[in-house]
Amino acid sequence: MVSFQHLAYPTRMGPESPRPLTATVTVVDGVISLLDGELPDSDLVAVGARWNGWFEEHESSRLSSLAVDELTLVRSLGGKLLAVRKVSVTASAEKYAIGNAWALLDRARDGDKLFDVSLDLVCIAGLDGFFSRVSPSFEETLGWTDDELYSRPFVDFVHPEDVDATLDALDGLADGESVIGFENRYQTKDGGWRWLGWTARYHATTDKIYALARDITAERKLRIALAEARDEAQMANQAKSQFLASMSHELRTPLNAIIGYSEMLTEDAEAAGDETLVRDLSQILHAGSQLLTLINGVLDLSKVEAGRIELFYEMCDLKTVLTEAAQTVGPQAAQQNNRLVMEFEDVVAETDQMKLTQVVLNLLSNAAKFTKDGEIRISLKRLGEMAEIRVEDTGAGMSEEELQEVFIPFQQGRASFVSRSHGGTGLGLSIAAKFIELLDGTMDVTSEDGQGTQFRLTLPLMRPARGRARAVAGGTLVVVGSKH
Amino acid sequence: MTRLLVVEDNEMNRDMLSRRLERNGFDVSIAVNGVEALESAQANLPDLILMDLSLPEMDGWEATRQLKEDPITRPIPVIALTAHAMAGEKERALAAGCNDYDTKPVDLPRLLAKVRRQLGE
Repeated sequence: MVSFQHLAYPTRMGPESPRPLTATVTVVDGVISLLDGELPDSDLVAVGARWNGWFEEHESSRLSSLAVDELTLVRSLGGKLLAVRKVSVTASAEKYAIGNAWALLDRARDGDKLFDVSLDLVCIAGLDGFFSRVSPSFEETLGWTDDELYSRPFVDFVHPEDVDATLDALDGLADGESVIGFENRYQTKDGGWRWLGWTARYHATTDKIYALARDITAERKLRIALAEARDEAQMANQAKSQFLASMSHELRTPLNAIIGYSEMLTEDAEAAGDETLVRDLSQILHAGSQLLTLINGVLDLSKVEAGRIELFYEMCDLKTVLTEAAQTVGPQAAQQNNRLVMEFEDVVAETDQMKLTQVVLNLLSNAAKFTKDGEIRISLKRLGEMAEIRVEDTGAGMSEEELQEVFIPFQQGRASFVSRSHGGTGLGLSIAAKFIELLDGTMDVTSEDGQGTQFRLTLPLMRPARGRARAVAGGTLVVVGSKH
Repeated sequence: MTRLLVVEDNEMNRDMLSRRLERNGFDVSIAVNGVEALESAQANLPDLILMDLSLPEMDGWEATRQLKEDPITRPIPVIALTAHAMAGEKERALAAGCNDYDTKPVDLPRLLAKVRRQLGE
């Protein structure tokens, strides 16, 4: 702390006669305040008034003098010099004192500038609950003039619901805690409310609170709108999944009857030896089971999207799982004169056998559908901590555009006529991809028009640690692109 | 002849399932809701019950609970049949006391295998 003895004989440039002043002021962090004596109140000191006089600096035991011949007071309130705009010093003053005085006054001036230019609300307040200085941005933001803000305790301006929290924050400040990110509502002069976000500290040496506030009304509105939009989107998505699940259920019940009666009639027709009837009925059964596959697919997909797929991990001999899947598809592959080649290493992995079987069956039956007089190869090997499964065919393949859409529900490669002739739901690959993702594996595909398709899966050998995020929307699915 | 009680509220499914079971050599009686199922089970003591779970009056879960609380009907195996293939359905059925669970549409060979397993055949 440095103190200046003000022994000035101020010469006021105004209608009133000059009068001598004697005052001791302290300058701390650029804020000048009165310790002893008197300074004119703001009503006496017009902005731009000019003062001549002496400053004497007390530092330790030394007394030195500092001549100030011109001092412009910007404002003064309650005996406190709140801002000093301009000081010029006579040549007779000692140099160090001049330097100190300039530095201190410069800092005071810099502080003023910050107060003046700040778009944020800058203020100084006492623990008595009153502002002692506010920046012009207060009036710009809230509409209250400085004098209105000084005339009442500042909690008077705070929204009734925020008063308790504000007083708690003040208690914290008095105990030496910093306030960071505290939010409350201040009333505006026109009766509205603005949300302010505060940063503040209390300095015991000056017994003052120094605080910054930002108008976060718009930001808060945006924050709330975003949260609402997110909640709405989640609810809509859930409603969609719920709708799909109920719809699938409602569709399965009548289908139950169609398939059941068709099977009964087939039994009767077979017993009667009526070949034509057996063939016609098998068409109904075929269509029925295709519809059932589609409904089950929609149900699977809605379960995945609603996060309601349960995984049942167990130690699986992958060679056995794949062999059984290959045997199931064998007859279908043979129908179009395809060779089915198996190349299996012994690999044991902790995974969900049912889901993996569903995925592999889907890939194999796709291969069988789109390959004629060719080869379907399924292979299994261990790659470090992963199992690698490949399903490759020499069939129709896919163009680059088809590859990009291969995992999207209801997008079937070869669009209309091929998919019609090959049946299928357009859901199988989407579900397969999501299952593999849930099992913490990866699935990628390469293909080229007319040159066959190669699917490659990897699966961890051990069940991943619990609590690991299973973000279905995430991106472990990779479409590698066409081979060239 | 093995006596089965089929509990199913949908007329078509009930007719179809009971006729197909009869063709496979079972003596089938029917109930259309949980209350009828309880009455029939207590009066006739069937060898096994195929229980739809979503039923009017009293649902299949409650009917199964009551069957399993009564010392007389408790030994009768109950296989739940439901079109709800959602996760947790199997657990809910077993928690109510069902001995096994199958989904609709009925895959007859699969269902018959489950029936025979419950009957210890």
